[in-house]
Amino acid sequence: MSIDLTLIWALLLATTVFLYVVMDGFDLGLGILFPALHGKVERDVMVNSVAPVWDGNETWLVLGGGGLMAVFPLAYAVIMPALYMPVILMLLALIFRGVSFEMRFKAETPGAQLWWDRAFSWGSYAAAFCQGIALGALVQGIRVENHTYAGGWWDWLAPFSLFTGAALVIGYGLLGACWLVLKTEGELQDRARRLARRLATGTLACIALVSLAMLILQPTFRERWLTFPSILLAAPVPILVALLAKRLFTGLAESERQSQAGVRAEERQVLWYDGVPFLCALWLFLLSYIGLGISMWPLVVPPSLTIWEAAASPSSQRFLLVGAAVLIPVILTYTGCVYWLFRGKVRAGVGYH
Amino acid sequence: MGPAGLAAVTAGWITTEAGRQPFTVYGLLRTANSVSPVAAPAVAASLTAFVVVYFLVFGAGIWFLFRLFSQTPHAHEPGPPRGQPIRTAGITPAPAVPSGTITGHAQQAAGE
Repeated sequence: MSIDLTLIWALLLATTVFLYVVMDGFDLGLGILFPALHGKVERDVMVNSVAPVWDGNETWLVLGGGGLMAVFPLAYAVIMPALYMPVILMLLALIFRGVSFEMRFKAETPGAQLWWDRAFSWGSYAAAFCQGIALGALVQGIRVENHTYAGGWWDWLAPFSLFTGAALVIGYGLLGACWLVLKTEGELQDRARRLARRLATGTLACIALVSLAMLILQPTFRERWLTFPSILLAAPVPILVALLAKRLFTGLAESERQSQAGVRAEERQVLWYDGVPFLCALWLFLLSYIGLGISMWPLVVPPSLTIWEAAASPSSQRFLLVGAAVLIPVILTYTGCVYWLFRGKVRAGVGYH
Repeated sequence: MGPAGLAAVTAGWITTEAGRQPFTVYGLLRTANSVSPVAAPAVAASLTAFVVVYFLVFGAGIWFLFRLFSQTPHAHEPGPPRGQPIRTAGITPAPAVPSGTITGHAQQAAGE
């Protein structure tokens, strides 16, 4: 037995999906915050803070979807029909969100600007909600018979999936608010901090509720979390979530003290104080994701389909891995370059599109 | 000649798709066997939604283009800015940026 290519691919695709979730998460989060932040200048700064990176962030969605089709064709063939409605609605919402990035700056009247702002915000809400629904519907299980999807086109609709939809909207809102704490200053930053506090409380409540629901949902999930020895692996996750939550709130308080002190600290220090909440929010997402992985492993489509059953032939996997080995470092490099180039605070009136 | 490119691309595409029938993968997989288990009303609904959204979004884009076309140049209008990038990407009729003129402009504006 040589290297388990399927395992490598599963980890690679899990990483890709996670990168998509957090990166598009914070820029969708800005649209989610739009109803709370009204001013034209504020909204321009918000949009400009992600303008150079948002479409790069969505690369990972394409890579995740393409990778799933190529390497786990059976999973793709089951998941896509099962989640047809939420996926289509998400794509339509992303069209509006993406177009309004440019069009809201071209609007000639306040009325037109308002409609493009609505397109941006509603698109962000709908995309985040549909992604949450897709996650919930996948986790609660998809009916598979004879290697095909055996359900209808409304099977995704359930109280649990609607709740995970709402939870992801709140979670993305938290990422967006923490991003604004990092990227802005002055009054907008103060308001972002206040929003971040409320959204952090909401996100933590959602994490707790979804975690409890997961235990009821599938006996295998419950077994993972409550029996020895897998509990040794699972138990640190909620403990780390609690510690991170505490650090997130102290981080927000420190950032507030720094900005109110009025003393202009060194740039590196500012970056640290204002960056901690965002870092904590990212880690909250990572831990939730790891928690999900602990429950689902090694299933790719609960309740029955494992990664090995859904995988393509080893030769396909090997062929694609060569491409990925070239492509992923390239993507990571240019992504890193862009984030580095546009580091620091975003000022009003400065934008790159 | 304007629409000729579009007509050629569309004709080529129809030829490929229609000429391949009744196969999805020629000689290997029949179209009837490759249909995904999505209900017909779901496909109809998504197609309708895409048509509506494309008309809305493209309509807004074309309306905006015509607004730009309708503006005649003003006398003594300043040209595009020289010596600095005016777009991040894409092929534009803008003058090429002379080499060596971008001196940390973007970093300065965004970073500090």
